Amino acid sequence: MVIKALDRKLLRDLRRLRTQAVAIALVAASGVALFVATATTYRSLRLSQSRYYEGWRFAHVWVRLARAPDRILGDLAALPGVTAVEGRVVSEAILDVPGVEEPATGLLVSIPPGARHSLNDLYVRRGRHVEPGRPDEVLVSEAFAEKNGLQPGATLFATAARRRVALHIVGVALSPEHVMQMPPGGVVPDDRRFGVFWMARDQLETLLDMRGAVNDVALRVSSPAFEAPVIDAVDRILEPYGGRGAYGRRSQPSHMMLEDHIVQLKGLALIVPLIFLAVTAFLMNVVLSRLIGTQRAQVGMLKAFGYSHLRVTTHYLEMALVIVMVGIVAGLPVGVWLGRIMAVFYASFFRFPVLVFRLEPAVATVGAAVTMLAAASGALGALRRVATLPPIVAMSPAAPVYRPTPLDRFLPRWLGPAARMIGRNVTRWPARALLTTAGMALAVALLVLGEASVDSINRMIAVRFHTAQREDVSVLLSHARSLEMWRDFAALPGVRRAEPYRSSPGRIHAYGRAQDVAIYGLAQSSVLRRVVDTRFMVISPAAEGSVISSWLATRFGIRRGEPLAIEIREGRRRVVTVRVVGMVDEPLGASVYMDLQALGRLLDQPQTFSAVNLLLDPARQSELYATLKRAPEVLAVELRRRALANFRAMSDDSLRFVRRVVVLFSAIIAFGVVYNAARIAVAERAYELATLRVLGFTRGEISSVLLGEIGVLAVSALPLGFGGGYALFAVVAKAMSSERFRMPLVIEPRTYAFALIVFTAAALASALLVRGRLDRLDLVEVLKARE
Amino acid sequence: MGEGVFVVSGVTKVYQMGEIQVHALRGVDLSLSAGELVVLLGPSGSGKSTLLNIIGGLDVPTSGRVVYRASDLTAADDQTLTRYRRESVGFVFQFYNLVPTLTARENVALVTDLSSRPFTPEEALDLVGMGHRLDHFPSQLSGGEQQRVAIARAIAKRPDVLLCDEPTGALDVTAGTVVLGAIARVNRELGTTTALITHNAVIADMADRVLQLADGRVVGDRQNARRALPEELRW
Repeated sequence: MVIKALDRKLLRDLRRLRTQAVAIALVAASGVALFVATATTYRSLRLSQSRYYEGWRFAHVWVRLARAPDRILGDLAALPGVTAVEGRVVSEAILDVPGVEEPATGLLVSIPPGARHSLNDLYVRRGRHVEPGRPDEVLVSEAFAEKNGLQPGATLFATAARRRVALHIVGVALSPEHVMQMPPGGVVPDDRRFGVFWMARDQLETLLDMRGAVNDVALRVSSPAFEAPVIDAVDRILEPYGGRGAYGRRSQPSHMMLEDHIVQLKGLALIVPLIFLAVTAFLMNVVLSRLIGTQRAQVGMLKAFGYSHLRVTTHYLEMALVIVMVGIVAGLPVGVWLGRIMAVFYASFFRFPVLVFRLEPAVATVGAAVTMLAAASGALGALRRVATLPPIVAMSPAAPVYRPTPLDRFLPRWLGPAARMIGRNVTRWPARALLTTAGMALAVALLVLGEASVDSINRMIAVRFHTAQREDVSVLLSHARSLEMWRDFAALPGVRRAEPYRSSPGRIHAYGRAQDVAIYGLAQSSVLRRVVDTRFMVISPAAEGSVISSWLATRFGIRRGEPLAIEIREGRRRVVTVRVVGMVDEPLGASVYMDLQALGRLLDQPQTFSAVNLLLDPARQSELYATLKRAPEVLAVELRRRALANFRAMSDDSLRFVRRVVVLFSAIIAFGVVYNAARIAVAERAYELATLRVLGFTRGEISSVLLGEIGVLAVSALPLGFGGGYALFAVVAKAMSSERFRMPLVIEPRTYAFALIVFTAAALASALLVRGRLDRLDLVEVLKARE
Repeated sequence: MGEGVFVVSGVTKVYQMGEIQVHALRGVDLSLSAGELVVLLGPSGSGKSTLLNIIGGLDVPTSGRVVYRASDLTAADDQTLTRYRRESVGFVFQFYNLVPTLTARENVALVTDLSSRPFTPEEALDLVGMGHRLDHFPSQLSGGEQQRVAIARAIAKRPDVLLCDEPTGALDVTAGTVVLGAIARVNRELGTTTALITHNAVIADMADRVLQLADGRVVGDRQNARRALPEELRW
């Protein structure tokens, strides 16, 4: 094969520019790798999730109710669109796990006879299924078993429906309903203190006095379109049976949490690679502009010899594409490798029984195509100049002309020549200085973004777990009790302070949308539980009216002073109306806060409470835990310390990896941008710098002229990057906000300091490399080259 | 003439260009005396620039010795050579080598900032007849004017030695004459030892001494009876 002369030139130019080409290819490779990794992980999780959901027949609609006869299931199955119905008996229970001092909470769920689940099938990981006729046999959820060291053969005790029962574990299982194990009232999964137990239907019926009846129903529908009408119909049919309001997957706690994770990953898959592609385009533009600038005469010569504008333009375009192709080829396998690691990590994190991992050609194609497009668009600006250059103009070299700029008037007289050179070089090519600054600012912004998530989570924790919640233990009761009784809790062993409160499930309907909320009734004198916004402002609920989460207000367009209709989802279901008197910008949950007495009146149960917050004497906490484990009226026990630890652990788990990746790649961007800018400056000004050396400037002095210029740009990039990071974080925080989480827009000084340090280190590393090149400057050779 | 400033003995310079060895200097011996104006004359490739670069501390010889006022330049490290250039040598090049982003005054200040007892930039520019264009950038000056700024920059630190590599090579006769006048004036008034490279034999008449180079060797060394004035030169 004959290599054409122009292609030889391409190869030689590439070899000459290899370090810069590698820097660009590295950034492109990072972008491609990150895109492929996150997109593949996202696709794998979606596929695995849907395989799991379909294979194990995950339900579409759920409803809890007081009690309904079995025959009602026939009515539900006859609803249009319903393909399967399973009636169940379920109950919360307080658990006494051997060797664990704190009480844990369990959910007992019935298994139909013969273990033939029509919905929400179980996957038995270890041990065996329960066998008919064997009393007290249970399957336990895997996460709980692992965290508490429970194996088949172990026994623990539970208090449910005022009775104490033994639970003999025969197997460990997974269910699509409990991918994330959300404790009642909790905001994050608590694998150690909340577990699901499946036991034979007849056993649970006996325990709960529910023979021939159900208190929980799950349904599947043939198409999503049926979900809303089925929910309405189910609510209508179950109303007389104490139905607490049916809900779809969107409100199912485990599914909601899983979706949050997957959607966050999707956001990550889109936003971060986009930044890398922007940097690739930018670097490509800078390097090609410079190359074409120095090859003006060659461009003119080629055109004079009859090469068309198009051919000469494509020659340079080919160079851009060859560079990013190298990046793509290097990035793809890294992306697949990284994607597999991430997918396996997430699959085990979610405990999926199946993992579908495949590199979809579409993902690779999109990644490659978008990267090429970015490179081409970056090259475009530089190429336009090639295309429009007439041969004769191109052949006469562009003189290195410096014309005075307005800046000259502002340079103070005491400024030395070196500082003047720096100042004028920056203003000589303002567009390029601006682009370089923008590139550096992007790296800084990315670093700020990566760390800001930590600040934001810390703020969430500080607001929720240190300011709003100050109790040690929160005890949820199985049903509302008379307010006079709360003093019983204050009298329990080790209790220093007790404060009653009320919490009820509710649902808001507005603009055709429904939103499940938690309604809290707090006493005016409450100090253990308060309503606090992200700026630590404490808002006390007024004696009348309600304070709602700002997120709800924004989502449903609710304004201060307006009435809000809330459907009460316990006891007798009905819709009540309260006036909204305030909003609270809180980071977690979707809540409505009211005065305890006012809520009682609203619920037609004045002077009642359903939960109590306790402050403990640490020395006597074991005594209290032992009492609570056997207290018949207790539905669940929440420990603030545990909830905080779980929240922290979960956010650390999901953030640690992302943070490392972001820091690594931002450092690559900072390095790439600074290195390229400095290399170009060296190439363009070798002659000037050599002259200074001849005049007696030391190596250090000429380095300071060149690197000083880069330093000026870097310093101006910092505030830009800080601002950009804030803006980027605002976008990401908004994209990631859900009804459960809102990331407060908080960036602490330590994050800016971190970005400053990492960026400076990366910039210094590239500056050192360039400094080495300056030290090897061959004076005679450089001066000769001009002649 | 005064005491010896440079003693060059047995200097060779070989450039390795891939497989080929290029002998730029093949054993040069010469000495320069204080205050002397010496013209190094020779065709392209005769080794004049290489010799000047070695004397100026920009390059080191392959063998031989260059002694500047009792210190051996051939044994000096980079730091010493930088200090030597900074304190003792002024350079003037064919293409002026002005920093395009600095004005005439600031280009000269580049050197005066480094120096212990310099002229002011204004004084140095006055000396070469450029006192009226202090705040012009190189792009706003003609070639001859740029070269005079380069000379002002070279002499502003009151160097011991002024080395000029084809200072009129890119100029027409009129501009060239003015530039040579400036060099002759500096040599006369400041007593700066001056070496000037040219391939133009006419210019040799303005020197005290003319060294003829050919093929990397000194092939002629004559003393001029009288230094011609630059304005008398015609080429």
